[in-house]
Amino acid sequence: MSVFSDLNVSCLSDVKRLQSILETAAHRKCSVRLSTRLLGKLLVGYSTIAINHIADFQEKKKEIDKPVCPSELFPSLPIVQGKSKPIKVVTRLTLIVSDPSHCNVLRSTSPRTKLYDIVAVFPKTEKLFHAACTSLDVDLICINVTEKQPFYFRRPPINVAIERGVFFELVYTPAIKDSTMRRYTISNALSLMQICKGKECQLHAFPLFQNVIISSSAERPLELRGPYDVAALGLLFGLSEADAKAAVSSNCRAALLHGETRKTAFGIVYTMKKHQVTEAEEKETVPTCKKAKIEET
Amino acid sequence: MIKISEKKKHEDATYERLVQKNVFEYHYMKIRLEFQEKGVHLNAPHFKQLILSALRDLHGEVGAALPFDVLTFDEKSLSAILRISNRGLVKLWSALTLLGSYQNHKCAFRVLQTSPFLLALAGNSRELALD
Amino acid sequence: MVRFKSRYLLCEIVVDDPLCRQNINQGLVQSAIKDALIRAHGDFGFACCSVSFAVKYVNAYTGIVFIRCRKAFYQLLWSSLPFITCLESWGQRYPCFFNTLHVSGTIRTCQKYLIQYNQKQLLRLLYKSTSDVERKQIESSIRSCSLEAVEDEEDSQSSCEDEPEP
Repeated sequence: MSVFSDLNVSCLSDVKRLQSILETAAHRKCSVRLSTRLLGKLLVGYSTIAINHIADFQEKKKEIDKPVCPSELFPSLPIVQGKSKPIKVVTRLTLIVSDPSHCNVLRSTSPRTKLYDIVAVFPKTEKLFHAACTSLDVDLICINVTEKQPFYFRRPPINVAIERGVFFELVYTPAIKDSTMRRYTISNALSLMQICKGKECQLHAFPLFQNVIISSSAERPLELRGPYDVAALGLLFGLSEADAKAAVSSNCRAALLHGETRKTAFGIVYTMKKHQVTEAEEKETVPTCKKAKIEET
Repeated sequence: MIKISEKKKHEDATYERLVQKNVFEYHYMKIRLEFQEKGVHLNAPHFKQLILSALRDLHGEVGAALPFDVLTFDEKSLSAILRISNRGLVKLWSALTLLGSYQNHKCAFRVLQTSPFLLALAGNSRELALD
Repeated sequence: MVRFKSRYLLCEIVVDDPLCRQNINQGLVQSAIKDALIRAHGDFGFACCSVSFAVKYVNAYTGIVFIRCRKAFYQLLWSSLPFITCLESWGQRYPCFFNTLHVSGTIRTCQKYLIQYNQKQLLRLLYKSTSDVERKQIESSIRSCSLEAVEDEEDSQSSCEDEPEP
């Protein structure tokens, strides 16, 4: 059984609501006591949730916030349904860049950026999109879903992004809220998918996967959808069935591991303070190294 | 859904292997409607109307013309079992996913189970606790 | 380089009232098609077709329209065309319907078809014509379009000054 992740849950000041979102994501408890046997009780939940901090440089010239510590927020993390393991909460930073100077935060050794597990970028112009695909050290590139795509996707930067292991992110909450945004979401997603899949894929020895993830950016529990529902939505966006499922499971994991390589030295050496390395962690670092090696070649 | 049937002919002892994909005509879905606030009631016709309007919004008149049935509906828990023909499954599912409100109340459809067999909805293997 | 394949639909707008032909313009046709598409196939259908949907050419006199759409979704667009019953402009409604004449992969083949189609129409007109003056006019125009090569056709009747897509 695959592990589902939702890499975008908005960070809210309202801790209680955030907690309820997490609760919903981990497992769906029926709010109504059931008398009939009609209802199944629970569903498979998400195993990994990323809390998203947005840094918009245009609005205010302020520093990037420190990420909230998940253990501070939640004294006891909810158990994932069907896994008997607590949900994993990671932090994520989304930079909205509309000017090349904004990218300096990523290039310079900013201590704040390093605190986050995943770094995403939301490019506003074609040049920045190109830069994000080819050179910026990010894990995710957000696709605009609330308005008509201001530029056309081009094949070369997207190819580079696929090779670097950078993922494109589609968000589905605006599509739930509003009809016009739904149109933009679907049409932007379709135009991205048409570029992502091409004849060039056949030249590679292994089949090129679609490097797309679908996430929620939910602000309340009701905006969250189950992983299988999201996969069905992926079919609507022009993904194949396997790709749609990968978009909520394995691709998310790959993005997470890609984020982990940033904390290591070239993705090869990983140092930790004191604390003996246990077997479980060793296992975790192995795929990271492999991924990094692929990257370097 | 793949069904493999092997038929043996008695006379000359040759085998015929038939592989069929998606042989089942219908899919059954167990769904539940959730509201943000409590105390929103709706009956079966309204429930079906809600699903129809969701289909019409996302897939237009063509989508609204899809034949689907509400087999059972429990007003208390707002849960239902739907029957939908195979080709309409993705359309119906995506329409349910993208439904966000009913008469200005925020709501969400939770798809609990889907199966080509109605009997499979009686139990849920995912519910089994892993220890 | 990935080439995106398109489909071009050659349609004829049939209206009762010849006066309202003057009012047909690109925006009007586009919005009418868009409305029909949303009604027939919803947000999803509109989103599919809007990727490269365009009304490439409109001729108000003959009521000829070229519509471009992605190849993968042109059936959605085509199936919603019959549901257009009227064009709306400045609060006035003109009942009409869209008659699809030809569908092809390039705008050039559409143009060629349109020229052939118009020649046939001329012949039909000739057959029906009653007065001598009319007959002379039609004959001369048929001659003018049959003598020249089809490629550099500049007939006013065929009305196909549109350049093929580069």
